[in-house]
Amino acid sequence: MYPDKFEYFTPDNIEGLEELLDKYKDDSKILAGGHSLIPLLKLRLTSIPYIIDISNIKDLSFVDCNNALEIGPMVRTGEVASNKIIGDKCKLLADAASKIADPQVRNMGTVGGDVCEADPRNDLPAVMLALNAEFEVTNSKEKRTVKAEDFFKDAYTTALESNDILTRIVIKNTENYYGKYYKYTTLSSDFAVFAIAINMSLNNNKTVKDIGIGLTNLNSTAVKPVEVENYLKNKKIDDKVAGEAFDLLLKSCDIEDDINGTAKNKEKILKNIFINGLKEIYEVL
Amino acid sequence: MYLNRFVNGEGKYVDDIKFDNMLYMSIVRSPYAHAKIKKVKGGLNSSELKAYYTGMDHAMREPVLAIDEVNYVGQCVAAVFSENRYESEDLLNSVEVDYEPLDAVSSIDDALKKPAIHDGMKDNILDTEDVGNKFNEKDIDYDIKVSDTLFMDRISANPIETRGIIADYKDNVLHIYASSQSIHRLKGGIMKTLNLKDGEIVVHHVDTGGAFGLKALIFPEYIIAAYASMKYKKPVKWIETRSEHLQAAHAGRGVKADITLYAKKDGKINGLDGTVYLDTGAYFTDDDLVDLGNAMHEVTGPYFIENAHLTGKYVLTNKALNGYYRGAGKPEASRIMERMIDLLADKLKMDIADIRIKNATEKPFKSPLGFDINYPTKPLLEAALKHFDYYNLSKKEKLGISLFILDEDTAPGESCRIIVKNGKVTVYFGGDVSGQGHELFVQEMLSEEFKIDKDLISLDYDDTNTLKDGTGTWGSRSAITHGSVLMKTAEIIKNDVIKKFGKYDKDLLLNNEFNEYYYYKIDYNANSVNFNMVSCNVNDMNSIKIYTYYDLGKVLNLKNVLGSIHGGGLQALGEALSETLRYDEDGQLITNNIADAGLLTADKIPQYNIKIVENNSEFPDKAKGIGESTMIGIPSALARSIELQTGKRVTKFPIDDLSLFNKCME
Ligand SMILES: Cc1cc2nc3c(=O)[nH]c(=O)nc-3n(C[C@H](O)[C@H](O)[C@H](O)COP(=O)(O)OP(=O)(O)OC[C@H]3O[C@@H](n4cnc5c(N)ncnc54)[C@H](O)[C@@H]3O)c2cc1C
Repeated sequence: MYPDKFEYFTPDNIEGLEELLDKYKDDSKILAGGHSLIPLLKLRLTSIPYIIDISNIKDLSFVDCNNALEIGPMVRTGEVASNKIIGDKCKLLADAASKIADPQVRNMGTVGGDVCEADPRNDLPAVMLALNAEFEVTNSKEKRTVKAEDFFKDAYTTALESNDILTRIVIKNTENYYGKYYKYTTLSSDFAVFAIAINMSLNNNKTVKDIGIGLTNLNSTAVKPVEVENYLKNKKIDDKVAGEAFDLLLKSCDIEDDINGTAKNKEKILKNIFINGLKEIYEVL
Repeated sequence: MYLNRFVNGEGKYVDDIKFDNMLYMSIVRSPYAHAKIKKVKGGLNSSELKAYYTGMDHAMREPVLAIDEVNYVGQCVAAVFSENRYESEDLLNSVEVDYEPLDAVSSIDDALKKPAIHDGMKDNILDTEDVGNKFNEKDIDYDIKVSDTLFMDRISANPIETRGIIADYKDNVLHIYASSQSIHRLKGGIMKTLNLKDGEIVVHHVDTGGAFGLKALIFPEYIIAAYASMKYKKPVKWIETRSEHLQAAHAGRGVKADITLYAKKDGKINGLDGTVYLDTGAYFTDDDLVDLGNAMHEVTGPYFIENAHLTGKYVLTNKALNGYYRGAGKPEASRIMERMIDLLADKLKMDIADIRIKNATEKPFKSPLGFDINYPTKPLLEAALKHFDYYNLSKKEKLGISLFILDEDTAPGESCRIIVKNGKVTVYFGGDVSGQGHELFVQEMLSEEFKIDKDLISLDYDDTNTLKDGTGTWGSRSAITHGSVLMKTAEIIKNDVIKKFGKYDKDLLLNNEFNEYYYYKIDYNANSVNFNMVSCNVNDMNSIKIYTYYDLGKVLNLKNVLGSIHGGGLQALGEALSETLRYDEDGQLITNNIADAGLLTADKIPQYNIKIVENNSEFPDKAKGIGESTMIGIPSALARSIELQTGKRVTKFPIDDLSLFNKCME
């Protein structure tokens, strides 16, 4: 790869990272696993004078579970897919991570990078929306919490400022939930043509207690179809309910003809997957 | 085994070769599919190097560096050089080019409607050619007529190793190190373009990581590198990036055909007529003639059809040039015929095997399109159907079948040198190895012939001095041409031993020195009859089963054969299902990475059921060809299996339907 010239830093603590970000501001960027950033540098689609590799910062790499599941941004997506705690507490996240690209990409790419890149085709933003995750964001002046639904602004655009660091991902909706990531691809690309993340829990009377949904690559950024979630709450899921939920779901989508196929064809497949997915999860619970 | 070096990362490809003071070359490429160049300032551009690189002196050849206009995205406009590869990329920004964008033509259909892209032409049809006997439908005996339009979209060769070259001019000789299927052809091309004399250039063959027809060609970048090395008196290296490859390397297929079959009720076809269009890209190249030539001459394939006529049209578009891709016109021809005969079978409610039996022959024959078929085609078809128990299996599986002739580009023969020295035997071929593993059959054949250990035999790379002449590796020829010249040269060496010592034994060979060169001439193209059958369940990619019934003559090395079928099978699936180059209406490439370009990976390798028959050929090594067979036989048979399930007739390749093969990850 032949990117433009850049200077490369590897701080080993968060303070060092904050200092560098404050110093170089918009001319700098965090490098986590590099599997979104490096392709851009390589194709010279972007040019970044100061690159700050955060892989030496141990405080960014952890998986804990006390009241909630807490994950450091530097945890590789391969680890997310195989980690025992995550597998126990959050099937949806483990499932989605296992469906990212291939082992090489998952061995490098990180959960934080996947989220912060906010590529509309990336899998984890929709998952975070379905999980109602919260992001701890840190910079040299403050620490704040941003909800997933306030985080994804547009394609490749998040609520992060140039000196912000994603330092922790918090997932509270774990007990009694079951979820799965339905990802549709082409034969040759690992990226989703579209995907649906669903996380669900039931009341004793078999009605939906809580449901979180996230959509990948069905709009300019990952979206959370709140109307659909609200509609499904306190209902039993059958073909009719699922069908009506799908009609609502389409309101959150902006499906276009593209290289993967016509909008019509995509919508047909999407409907099938959404309805079967809802029913599958409902039945497991 | 010394082929292990490739797996161990010890291969030495062009990019692994480094010389002192070497310059890296980067190319300023056109961002527009069609534009006037108002100004170009900086770099090496056509104000200095004004030349045309294609073999024939055709009026619509491509200049090495764009002159006054660009006609496709990626066309070479200028070149920059630096001893540092990063810096040569940086220098791209130092070249100023002012473009005035023009309307672009990005498809065959577009080209037929829109004004000419080149000044001085009245439309975008570069040339029209007729083959066969023009007939009047009144004069032939038929009950039914079926017509359809078939389309095979463009596809990029995408070898693992992209194109690359080092040009090193020293002591008044230009040394070229290239990833190539034919260094002799490359030598000729560079000599012609740069007006060099024999003795002023030596081309060296090096490890080549795949070629698929593309590396039989000569490219503007190679000429620029050669020129620059002579100018700067330094070695110059150019290694293509994948993005450049997808954008600018000569692409294959791009064929459209309007075809009509005339048949009797019993399925006998008495006439075929139509037009075949080739998307030549922005300029003419010699390979257009081969591609469209094959795509027309071979259409009637294994079937005896008395009346056949085709009009061929070479169509200019604002896209990278046309080039060879595994099969070079042969898969196109067969796919046209096989898709049409399936359509006819459906119209007549006949079984797809029965209709093929009806039209296959008991005797060799010459087709009206000018194709000599050397073997009867019906016996092989019947044997294959019987072997796979087609009539019973077709009740259980959704089967598509394909009967085809493999035309083997054996002419004009091949050269070989065998050197015996220090107890070791080294072989050189004029036609270059591009990753198929010729080493394997060389060792197997020579160890048998010389009665020596395989480990004592190696295949080494020639340069244009070691072997004064040579042809190339393409067109399913190597088993026949390379195998035969190897046998012939080995015979000469054995005779040398006998002449010298009165008898042959392996110690007399290994304890002495021998060195023989031989060019085995073949003045015609051979061919063979082959069969494929494919079944699948359209909801499951892993269900695809490929049945192969190939007549390979004598098998020189089974590993070589299986490698060709396994890899070629996957490549054929890619071509049938997903692999393509797609452009928007402005001629911009949309499929600009290998995932979007639809390349399949090894997890998609299908199931194989392989039967090899060995009806010896007339050549010294008794072999027949294999290289292009999978690309010819598999896609049309797979298309049939799919349409049987979807009810939607397949006329376009790649089939590329999002709903096929349920791609929801488990
Ligand atoms: C061939 C290929 C296939 C792929 N397929 C998929 C796929 O199917 N699904 C999928 O989801 N992804 C896919 N990806 C993308 C991959 O998952 C990336 O790894 C991921 O998008 C980015 O994570 P990273 O750790 O590599 O981040 P990087 O590339 O290092 O960074 C990405 C962006 O996030 C920022 N960033 C990273 N960490 C932080 C942080 N802690 N705080 C603030 N900003 C931060 C960086 O500054 C940068 O802007 C694919 C990538 C490749 C190369």
